[in-house]
Amino acid sequence: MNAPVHTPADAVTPVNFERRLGEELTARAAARPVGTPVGTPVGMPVRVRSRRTRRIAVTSLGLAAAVTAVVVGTHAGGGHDAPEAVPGVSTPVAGPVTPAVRDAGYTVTVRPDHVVALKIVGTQLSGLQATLRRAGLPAVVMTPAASCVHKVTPVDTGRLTAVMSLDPKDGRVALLDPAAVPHGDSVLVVNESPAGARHASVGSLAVLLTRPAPSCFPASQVDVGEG
Amino acid sequence: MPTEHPTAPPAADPAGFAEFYRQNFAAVLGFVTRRTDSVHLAADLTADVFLTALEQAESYDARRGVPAAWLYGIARNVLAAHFRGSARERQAVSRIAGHRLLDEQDVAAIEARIDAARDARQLAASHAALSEPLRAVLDLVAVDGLSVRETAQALGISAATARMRLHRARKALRGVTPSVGTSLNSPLEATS
Repeated sequence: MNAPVHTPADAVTPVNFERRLGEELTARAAARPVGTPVGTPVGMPVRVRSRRTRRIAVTSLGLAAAVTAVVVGTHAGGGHDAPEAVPGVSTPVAGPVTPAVRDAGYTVTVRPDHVVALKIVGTQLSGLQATLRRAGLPAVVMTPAASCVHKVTPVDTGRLTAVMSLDPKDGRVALLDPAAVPHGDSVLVVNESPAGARHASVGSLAVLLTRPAPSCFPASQVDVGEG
Repeated sequence: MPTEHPTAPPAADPAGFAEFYRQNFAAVLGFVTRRTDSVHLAADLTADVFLTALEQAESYDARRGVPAAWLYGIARNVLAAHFRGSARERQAVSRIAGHRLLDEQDVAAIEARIDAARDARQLAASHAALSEPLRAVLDLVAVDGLSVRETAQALGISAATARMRLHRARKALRGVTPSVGTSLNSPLEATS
């Protein structure tokens, strides 16, 4: 941008006003319920629209693929952990999060900066959704279903790269940042491991941002590679 | 105008919006003080702009432009509603009375900004003879220092339309007040 007319670069800043206003806005953002319709005055009672009337925006990132985003239409089918309203999760304490089932094929750890580290160590992913939610992520975990029918349109948003990355010290660990998840979005984790697979890794998962989470994920949308 | 280009999107979550606010506070305060010489009104309008941005954060679409341009569009609408006297009806409890957040240092700082922006306000006033579409473009470019592309994004028009309106605005003002033409020829970015 160009410099505006006659406005000195070192103009004095009303620092206390800036801080107080910032605090007030932060408090209002925190008090804003999930799914608040656009334009609803902050501080006003909120009527949340049902999922059927809300356009679903989906972005996806295969761990070895470029970032893309898709729009998902109406849907049917199953094959997933039941989506549910994201609970108001208080900030988890750093450390390992106990898996929801015994002999789970994953480990979930909350780091001191609240980033969630997910490592797949086996094929048993039951309870992963509940475990990720206890870790602070608004997560929904699904397995692709052949009976699921979607209409998909690619849309570029670019937000997912801030939510998910691979641990530079261990490429087998996915790092998921709850703070980077856009307000109102859910983190959709799709287990794309072939049925009957004897081994699984974090590379078997596709991570997407959704709003709200769909009730199924189509098998036809899985990017199935060799091996 | 900040030397860095704010990049944080207007996320509606507390942390995301806090960063967006931090990056754009100076720009919004500058926008407001170039249009009013009242300290209290400047504080109220600044608060109102950011509150509106928070309410509309989920409408931001990165495909349509940079966050700052989006915010300038909101700022224009908020101030226009105020000066038309047709501000949206709100329950008093939902608004932030910006002027109540001021202390003496803040008042002095905003007064200094208002003094420094005197020429900008005079320049904006010289655009009063223009039609609203032409004035909107010229104000953002000549008074607020936006590029033509950013101006187009803020107004929701094409860059070509913005350039055309800018040209017509300058031409119209040269015909009315030749001396103003000199300030309009100050270096402005020629964008694609």
